[in-house]
Amino acid sequence: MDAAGTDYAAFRAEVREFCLTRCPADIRALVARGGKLGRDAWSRWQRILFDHGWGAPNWPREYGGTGWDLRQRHIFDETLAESDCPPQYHHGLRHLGPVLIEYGTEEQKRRFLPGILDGSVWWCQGYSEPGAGSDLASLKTRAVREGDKYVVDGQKTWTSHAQEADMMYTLVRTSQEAKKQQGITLLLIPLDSPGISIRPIRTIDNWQHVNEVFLDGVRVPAENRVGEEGQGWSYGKFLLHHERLAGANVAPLLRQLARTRRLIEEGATEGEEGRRRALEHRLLLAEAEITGVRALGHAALEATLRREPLGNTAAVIKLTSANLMQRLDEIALDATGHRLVSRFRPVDGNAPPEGMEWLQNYLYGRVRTIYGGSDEVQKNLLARTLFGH
Amino acid sequence: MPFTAPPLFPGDLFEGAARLAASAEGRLSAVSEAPARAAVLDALWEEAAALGWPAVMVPEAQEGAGGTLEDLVAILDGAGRAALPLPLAAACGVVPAMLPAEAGGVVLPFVASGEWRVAPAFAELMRDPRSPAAAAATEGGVLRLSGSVIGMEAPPGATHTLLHAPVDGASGLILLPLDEGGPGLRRFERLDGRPSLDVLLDGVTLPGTALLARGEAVARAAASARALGTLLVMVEAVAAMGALVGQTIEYLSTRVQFGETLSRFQVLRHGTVDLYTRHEAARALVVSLVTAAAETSVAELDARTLHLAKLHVGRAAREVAEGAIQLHGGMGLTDELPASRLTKRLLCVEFDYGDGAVHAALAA
Repeated sequence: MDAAGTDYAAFRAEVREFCLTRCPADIRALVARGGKLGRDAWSRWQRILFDHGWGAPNWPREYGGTGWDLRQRHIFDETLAESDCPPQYHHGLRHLGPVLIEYGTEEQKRRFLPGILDGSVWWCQGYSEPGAGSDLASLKTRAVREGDKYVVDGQKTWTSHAQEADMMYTLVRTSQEAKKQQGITLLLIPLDSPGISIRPIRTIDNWQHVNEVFLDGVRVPAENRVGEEGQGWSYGKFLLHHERLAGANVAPLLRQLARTRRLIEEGATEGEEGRRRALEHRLLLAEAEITGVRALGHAALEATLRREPLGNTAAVIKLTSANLMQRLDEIALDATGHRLVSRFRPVDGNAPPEGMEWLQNYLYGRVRTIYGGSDEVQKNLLARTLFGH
Repeated sequence: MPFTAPPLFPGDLFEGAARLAASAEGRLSAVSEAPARAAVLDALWEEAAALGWPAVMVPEAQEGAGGTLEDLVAILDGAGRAALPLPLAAACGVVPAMLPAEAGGVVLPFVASGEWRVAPAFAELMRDPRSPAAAAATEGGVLRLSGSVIGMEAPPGATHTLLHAPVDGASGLILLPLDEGGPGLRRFERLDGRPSLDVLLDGVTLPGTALLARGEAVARAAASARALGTLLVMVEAVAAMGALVGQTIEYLSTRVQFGETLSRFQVLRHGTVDLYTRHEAARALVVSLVTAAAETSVAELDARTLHLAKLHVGRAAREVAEGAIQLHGGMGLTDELPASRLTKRLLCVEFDYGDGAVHAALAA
């Protein structure tokens, strides 16, 4: 219990009890086997959390937040992961919601926040473009003001969940003259607008989760613009700052460690002791490294609670945990690959071999060192703070 | 292209294979559904057969071309540079090698003519660790099969499996037709897009003549066929690694971010050099093994040297695949670049003909 009288152990027990009793068994089973979560599972779970008053722990109380302190929010995220519940990480909730709360008009808050909170309206993020990935400020999708509408032309890519989303919050260029970072505007675009077409991008993991979104003369009401015209870049940066501590939750890493250990123990068969011993040794080394990133995560949380600046810690945690997660994926690949790579895609409608998610997660997991700031970009940023230039 | 690995054995075979693989690239990327892909693969196999590849390693006495190891390596090198998703090493190399001399005549003329499409299977390798491996017992003139073979790479529309499995406890070689009323089949595509099959053998019986041979000679031929398969997988790996290094350089030289081509960023240049050095060492290793095997025979290669080589190339292939994905950024994760076919092929190398654990145990 702390000075404010919060009993954190009791809070943890309450969240755990809720997770184990209220999260539907099929959803927990899907998370436990590393399956791909889609809108159905996410939004059912969001609705359950919302009905319990836990729809948006990261939002201020007057907009439906829980009023938890940072430590409680951390315990909540950790307990969700430990209990095989989906992380509460949707684009609307974590990304757009805080921006609308900070910069949106009252009318926009009334229109958009309730659907995000109860999970009934699904959002995707229209940022990256074919020529603007790590260098996002180079984006070219154009929006031209015509009366009370913006007319949008261009192409977005890597758009997660576009195939199942209702809305896309989209960075567009409204001025060609300004410096790259200026002249960018944030628009909220309904995906059923005429002129939008969505093409799935086939990825090596054989899961559909990213898309190209083509915008051809799409007319967007001006009241769907968030904040000022030309200020979209600073709203994006606001988000980066807002979400920096999210990576400090190492519970998914610990969960994956436990799952991989179980896989190796259960998969062990006679005559395979050598394989098992080698994998267990690698797992132990990974576990040892996880103890370090876990300590970093705790330190980051404590520093934030004391209102001290985080400095480089968030970037260090992101780099380290992304690479550790890939190492765990690789250990699991070496435990299962000999019976999975040769049977990747069923052809006659027969079921995929049990455990194919291990291989799919290994393949998908390569993205961890690419998205949200690639390792190379992260290291450049860190180097700049170390060298001072 | 700024970097192109020279062919291991230049000539018509290399060129023909590289051409077919390049044409397959476009034809396969135009289709995504499994039945359409299967039809393209079937057509590709027919073209490969028309080029005479299944006959290359079949002795002239059995109506084959009586070619050399270098001939087959040249084909695999050419095809491997675009990761042509056909089981060429298995069907054109390993199948002839599994057959002891006296048993060849029953199978190989049909392989050479293209009439049969035969997939090699090794019960000891292609098994689900949690269920019984393939085996057989003789009983009153018939052969009773049991267990299963999993993830066997197979030519499109495979007609037979040549199965190495214990028969009454000794090494046996069984010719198993895959037609109607035969074993249960489950069809898959491997990660690298090659066709593969699970073959379910419980309750399958065959006439006694399906047992082509049994005993020491079969065991020796099987060991040598596995060694050949291991060597050929490494040949394909080197071909794919070299091509992927070239494509990575090309991608980084074209893509612009932050106002510069990515090739100007030192970290990406070094990353590419890491892939290149992995390729160079693996290539030298494979060339030395192929040369040694061509002078004597694959069976006479030092077993430990071969196991260590597979350990090396399996890791190198994965590192090159992972590195190339990272250097391609998000594009490396799509199925829409020629490079993706190469990365997926390279990720299979570790697992073909025994993974690292298998070869480490044998080398220790």
